[in-house]
Amino acid sequence: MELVEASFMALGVENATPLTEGGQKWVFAAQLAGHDVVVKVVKLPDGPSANVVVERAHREVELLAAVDSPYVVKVLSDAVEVGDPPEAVAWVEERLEGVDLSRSLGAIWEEVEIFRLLSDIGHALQACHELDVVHRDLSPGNIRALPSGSFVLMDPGYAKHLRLAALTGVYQPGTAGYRSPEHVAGGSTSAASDIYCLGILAYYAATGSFPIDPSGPENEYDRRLLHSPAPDVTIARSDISTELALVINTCLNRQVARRYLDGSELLEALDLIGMKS
Amino acid sequence: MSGVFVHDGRRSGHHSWATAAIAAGAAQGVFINPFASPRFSIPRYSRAADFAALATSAGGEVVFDAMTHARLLPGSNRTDLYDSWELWPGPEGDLSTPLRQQQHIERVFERQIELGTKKLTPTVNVTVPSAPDAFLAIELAELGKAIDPQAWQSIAGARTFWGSGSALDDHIGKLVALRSPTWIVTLTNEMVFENVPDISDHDAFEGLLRSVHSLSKRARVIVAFADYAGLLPVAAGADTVGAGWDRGMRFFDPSSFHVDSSPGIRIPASYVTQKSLSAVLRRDAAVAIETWNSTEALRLRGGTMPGSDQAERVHHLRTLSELVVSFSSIGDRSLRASAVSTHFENASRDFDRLILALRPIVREGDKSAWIAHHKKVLEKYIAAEGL
Repeated sequence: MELVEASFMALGVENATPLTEGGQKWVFAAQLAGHDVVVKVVKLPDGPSANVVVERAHREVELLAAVDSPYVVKVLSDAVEVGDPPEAVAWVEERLEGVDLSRSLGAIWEEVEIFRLLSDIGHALQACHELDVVHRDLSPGNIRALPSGSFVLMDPGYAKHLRLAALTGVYQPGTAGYRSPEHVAGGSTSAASDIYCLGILAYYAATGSFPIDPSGPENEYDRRLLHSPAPDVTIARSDISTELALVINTCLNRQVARRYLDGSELLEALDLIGMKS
Repeated sequence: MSGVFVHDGRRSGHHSWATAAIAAGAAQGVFINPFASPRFSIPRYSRAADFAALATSAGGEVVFDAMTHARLLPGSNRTDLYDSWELWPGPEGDLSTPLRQQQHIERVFERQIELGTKKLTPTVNVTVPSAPDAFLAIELAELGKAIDPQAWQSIAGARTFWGSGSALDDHIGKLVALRSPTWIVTLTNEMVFENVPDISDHDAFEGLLRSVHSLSKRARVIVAFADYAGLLPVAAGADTVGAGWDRGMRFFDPSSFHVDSSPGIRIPASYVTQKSLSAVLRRDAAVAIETWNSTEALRLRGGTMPGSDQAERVHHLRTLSELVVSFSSIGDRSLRASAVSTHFENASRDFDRLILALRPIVREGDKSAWIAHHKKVLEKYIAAEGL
């Protein structure tokens, strides 16, 4: 825990308490200048790749700091190197109220809530995509449902950061169930991949199930992602409006070119049907 | 402006014929390429800038296609006019580094500025989406967009590329993200044996239509070297077809870019275009149809019998242009595809009647080449898209 304490000191945060821990990453609740914040600490791998990780962490966090949207969690510090030589990188993000989306995805949502999810995260993606940041891991754990009813995207660029840094060893982008066809090995994720993943979230909110079943061996899931078109959402939820069904089905089109290419195109579509928040 | 663009050619009258076709409303623009028109006038060839000015003054659009995808084909060596364009500041054909790619694209753009045409990013011919040439094509397109976000873009691919299923869709998805305002799409042939289209690879052509469908959701699509076969991509959303009167204008023919000591017969007969059949039949067949039923012959041709090959050139472009403009004016995708399908159905029935009445002058092989495969490809596309 010396590394963690050193991280807190380097960042100038106080009153830290653990929130989550997984792999090489720790997340803490803390305070910075009297404000509630989250501290993220990532342990560096041994060997020469550590320098690459540090450089890329700087680049990613700087990029994220440039994203200015109320729908994206704010990065409040640079990525600081902890130790000499560095043993970890750490940074501070704003701390959000509310709960992860995973807490509420089991139930069947009302249309207005689904539109709100599409619109809010659409705005978040627009802000990221305009800076050429692709989230790559749009899943319930990375979306915060605020008490106000709005949604905020968290960990933007984190999956990319992991991939570049190879912190997890064998990199598997995305979260099972919430992956796009481009996430399959050999593919190339783009802004449209985030749109597909948002479509999965909206589909799940509407129906309580995945459009592409992620169960079973991973290679079978990959095969389904590549070759099985997502079912029309109205098959599982017949009372859904034509407008919402069109938006979700377009997000989930197997062909990238037939989807909304990025957050801006999604928002334009929502605007056309009068559902942009 | 939808319709027909006349591909460039090396015949002496090409510039005046193409300009006359535009003036007559039979064509809406021209492609100029460095293999067929020189940058500076030389004996027998007037300079491309004069051709561009003529075509523009006649009211046509002008596109200068650097045809890098043709220059880099194995055996491409017809460079007598090409070299005058100096399209390669570095070693000719070298696109191995980002700097070389940038230099070539910038030089092509400079030439297009000289001619007063839109910028069209050069591309390479793609064999399959997983091949290095596919990644190079994407790199060139991205670089072209970085240099000028409004630059038009090209896609050129072999049948194996267009028939590669979901891999093709992924490749097109990457290109669509560039948001080019206009795409110029080419299906490249490895060989062209006859003056008839080869649509027998249904998967490839269905892939072409699927891609045109995707591209046309956000941009204009011009299908190059397509001629009457271009009605298929028009059904899927293209609004302009590259066409002409010679084999190298109607089909992407690698021999057009190759110096051949024995070129063989390139104009084996005189032909007459049959609009309602979507076909170009030999003049002796056209005469036989006229003799059989002059009223029907007039309908099938879509105009009076061309009295000369020059009249046939204009007749060919005019009839194709009428069809392209008519179909591309239909905004609803389902109705548009249905209209082209109906055209093919009617042509198929007309062929059956002609074969019955005039065999062996009009044969099953003619129907197969000009309509039967087209129909099957279109049916496959319509079914896959749920139109």
